[in-house]
Amino acid sequence: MRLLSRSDQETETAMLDEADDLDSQQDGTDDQPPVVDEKRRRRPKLATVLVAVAILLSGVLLAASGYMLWFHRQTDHEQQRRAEFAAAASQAAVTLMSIDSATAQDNVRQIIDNSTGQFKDDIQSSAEDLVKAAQDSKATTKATVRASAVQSMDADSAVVLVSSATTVSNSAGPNQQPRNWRLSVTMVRDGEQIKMSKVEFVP
Amino acid sequence: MSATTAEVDIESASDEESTVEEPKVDNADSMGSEEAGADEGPEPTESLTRRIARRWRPIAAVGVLLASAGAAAGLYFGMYRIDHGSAGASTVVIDAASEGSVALLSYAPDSLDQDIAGARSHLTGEFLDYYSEFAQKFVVPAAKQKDIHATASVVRAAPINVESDTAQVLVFLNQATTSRDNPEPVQAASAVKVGLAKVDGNWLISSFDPI
Repeated sequence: MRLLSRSDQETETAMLDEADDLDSQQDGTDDQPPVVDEKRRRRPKLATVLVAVAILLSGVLLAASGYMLWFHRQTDHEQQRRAEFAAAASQAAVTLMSIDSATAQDNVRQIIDNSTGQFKDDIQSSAEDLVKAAQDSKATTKATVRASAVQSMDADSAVVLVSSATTVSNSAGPNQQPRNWRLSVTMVRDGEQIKMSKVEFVP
Repeated sequence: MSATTAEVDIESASDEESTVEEPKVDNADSMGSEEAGADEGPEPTESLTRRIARRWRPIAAVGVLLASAGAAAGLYFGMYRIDHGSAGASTVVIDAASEGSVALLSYAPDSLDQDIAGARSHLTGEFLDYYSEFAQKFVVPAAKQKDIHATASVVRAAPINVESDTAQVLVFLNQATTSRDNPEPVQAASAVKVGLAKVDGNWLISSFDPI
């Protein structure tokens, strides 16, 4: 079209220019300054600047929103992992400290199932003695967890403080005064499960 | 004229075909408003929609801007401040719980007033009232009569949960006590669930439950 407008017919160039101008205005570009009206020229220019600023600001705000959503997911995820480790440690502590002389064999097997690493080896090697001692005691120990809190945590392990109480009942005396325990338990993710890898009685 | 115009005519004709009516109508409209103000009268609604249609870009941009500003503000005040507050608070909360617990359980007859004032400065709410009364009724007379020296230390502490302005911390405490009758220190181990509340930017103990 532009090549054509360079033809010597003046009227036609004018017509073509006008057509071109209208087109370009609809496209939002104003490379062809119209001769007639200055107001019409200036308005889209201001609008263009404002539109650009608005788009830029929107971009920044959306990026900030994205970051906040990511941060929220991150904290959510961490809280969930915290809760998971705390719950697993509580469960492991109850399993570890609840022993019934009648089901000692099962109890010890459960403890081994819930353990991993060095702790598992230790329990395994002394399993027979443990079962025998429990059977001889003719007592039932029930453990409850009063509180648990994650002290430190990394990708797949955590150190959890557990406060628990045990009550022993045997044939001679019924329920005795509960005894309180302070434990520091190291939990490690082992495949799907979270298992106990270290137990420390806090003096 | 013949050759070029023919070409132009064909081109413009095809142009018009592709964008059917819009350019034509627009042309007519702009010409009308520029040339004669009398044209504004008959159809004001149409000219308004037309003006909006012509400025859809800035309108859309402002719309997007307002929407993203609204989203960002909503996320910030509804979510991020709380997330950020609780994420950074953990260590501060543990320190506050530990220091407060030690202050609460450490005292000596010679410095009772100071010790109790120090402990009170870590407390808030009903527990502050409870402790103040308890200290005056039991701790002060007992400490003076029996010459009790108590020293507490924190063995371990970990957060049970931390919200933006409340928290619970599990604290393992040891307290060594000597008295005139028992000059050898007696060790007492305890686990305490310490509740805290954020008051004027400071974490203060609002409950203290040995478990």
